[in-house]
Amino acid sequence: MKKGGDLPVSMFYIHLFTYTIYGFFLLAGTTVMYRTFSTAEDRKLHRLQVVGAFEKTKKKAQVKLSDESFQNRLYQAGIHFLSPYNYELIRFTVGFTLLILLIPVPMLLGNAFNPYMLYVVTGYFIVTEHRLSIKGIQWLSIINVLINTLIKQQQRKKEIEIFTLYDLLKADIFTFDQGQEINLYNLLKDRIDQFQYIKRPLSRFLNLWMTDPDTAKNAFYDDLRTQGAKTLGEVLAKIDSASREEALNIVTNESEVYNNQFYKKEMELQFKRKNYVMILFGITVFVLILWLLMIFSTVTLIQLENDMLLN
Amino acid sequence: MKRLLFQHRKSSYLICDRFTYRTRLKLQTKQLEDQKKQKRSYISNHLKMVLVSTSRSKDYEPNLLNYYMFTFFLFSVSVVVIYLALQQMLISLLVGVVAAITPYLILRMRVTNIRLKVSLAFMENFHLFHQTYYSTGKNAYFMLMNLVKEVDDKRLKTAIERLVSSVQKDNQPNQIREATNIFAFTIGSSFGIRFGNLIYKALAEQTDISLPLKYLSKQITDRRNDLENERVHKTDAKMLGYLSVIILPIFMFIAWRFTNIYDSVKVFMQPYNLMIFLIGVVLVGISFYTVIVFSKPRTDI
Repeated sequence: MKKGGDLPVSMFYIHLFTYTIYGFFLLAGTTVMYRTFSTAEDRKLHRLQVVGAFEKTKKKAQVKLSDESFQNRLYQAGIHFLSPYNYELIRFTVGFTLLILLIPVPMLLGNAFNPYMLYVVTGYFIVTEHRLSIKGIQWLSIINVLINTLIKQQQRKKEIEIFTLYDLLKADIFTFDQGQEINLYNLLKDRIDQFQYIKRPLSRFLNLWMTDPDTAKNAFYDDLRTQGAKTLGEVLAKIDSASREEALNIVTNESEVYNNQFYKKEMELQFKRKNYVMILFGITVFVLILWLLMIFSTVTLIQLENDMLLN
Repeated sequence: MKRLLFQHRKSSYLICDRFTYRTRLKLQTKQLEDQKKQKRSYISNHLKMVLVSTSRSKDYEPNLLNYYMFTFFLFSVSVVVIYLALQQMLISLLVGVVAAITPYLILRMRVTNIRLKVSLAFMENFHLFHQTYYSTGKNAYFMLMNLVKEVDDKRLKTAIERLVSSVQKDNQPNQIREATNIFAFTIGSSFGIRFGNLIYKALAEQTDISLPLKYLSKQITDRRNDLENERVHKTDAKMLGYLSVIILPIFMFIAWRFTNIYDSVKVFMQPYNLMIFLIGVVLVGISFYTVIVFSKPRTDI
């Protein structure tokens, strides 16, 4: 049962209510004061000044925070909707609201300073820091780990789609007439919409193909950074203006090589995965043994206490 | 007077014409906007695929609104209940998020289980795909129709049936694309994705895909030989995984026998003992699921 004097609402909400009303009247009072002491033109000028200053700082921040490598990494991870500037903006607004809500607000409401909250805020800033590059503690920035895993996933999807590109090339070239010459640009032009993940390097390849075929070859390698992507560019360059039989021969052979490379890599990944799984099982067994040992130790402690009491 | 009337009529016609032109333009832009709106977002598209691939019936139209409502209901109820019980906002929000994710996690686990079975069946039955394509005169639609009769595996059969029925319903390229995407998602392996793209090409553009199919079937047989080697390689990890699961009841029994002379519940409920025990139980659950997934032959990562 509660005592008679207790209120059903906690003290926090009462404080919140009073401070809101106080803040509202403070704001209203200052605006009324400002309106009485300034003309309409003055106010317009002030407003323009404030907007100009805001735009200036925004531009400065955009220049300062535009991190090209981070932008590239975000793009590779498939996050197209977030620029580095927007990321920093969200990160700092969330961080500062956390800071204000956890440290000054409880102190205003009459609680003592809690150092634990300071750790929480610093932890938040470390976890979301993408520029953390000190060796040994890189895994602390969770955002980096997240982006790296996303990049790996996207990379795999891209590699699988290269298979599809080979398959479609085979199917297309097979339908050509005997001895017909191949026009690569026309062949790939209509196919772009069928791809999801390698759309960007493919369109870059086609854009460069007419003007600068040598740099066009490296379009896939620049995006994927694998040996298979490099050979793909060379294969595409080779089959242009080749005859049907020759092109078919090249494409089938190279796709076979690519297949072997890909599945060799997959097998290595499988072995790596096996190690991770073994570590997980090992930790489980270790924790269970620890629990049993702790039970034994508590029992022995109780026994010792009993012996002491008896003596 | 007549002239005036004529001019008036002419101008009104002109206005009318311009008006119709404008309305036509408006209608066209509105149609385009509607088409854009019909394109679902990435999340709802993914959810639709997950829901369709886990269903057993061949023509199942998922209602995403129900799913969203259910998730929101779980979230709000758990937040309110935990907040009323513990009076702590942060913990209640965390529990609410976990409760909201659980339906998706369960669906995702079912998808992995289905994929493990279907992708293996797809690999083992791929020679049928290849043969039927030739026997039906290189026609992809009839190939799928005949495959429904020939494939034994239930899940793979429903996946093919689903593809056939959606192709029968609508023959537009984007609809076929959606159906083949769902088929590739159900199979999940890289071979499934490749076959999905090929079958789209054959259905939407009526191209001959016999050559890529031939090479695909060759690569699949190569991969099947690799699978045997992998199975041997995995045994020690499997043993350790099953051991970690079996050890839990044995240890619990030993601890119970050991503390029998005292108050065993009191010893178990010591805060540190309880914490480590709970961590151990969670880890055992995770390793049990991992060992089940890990011990099945994976056609693909």
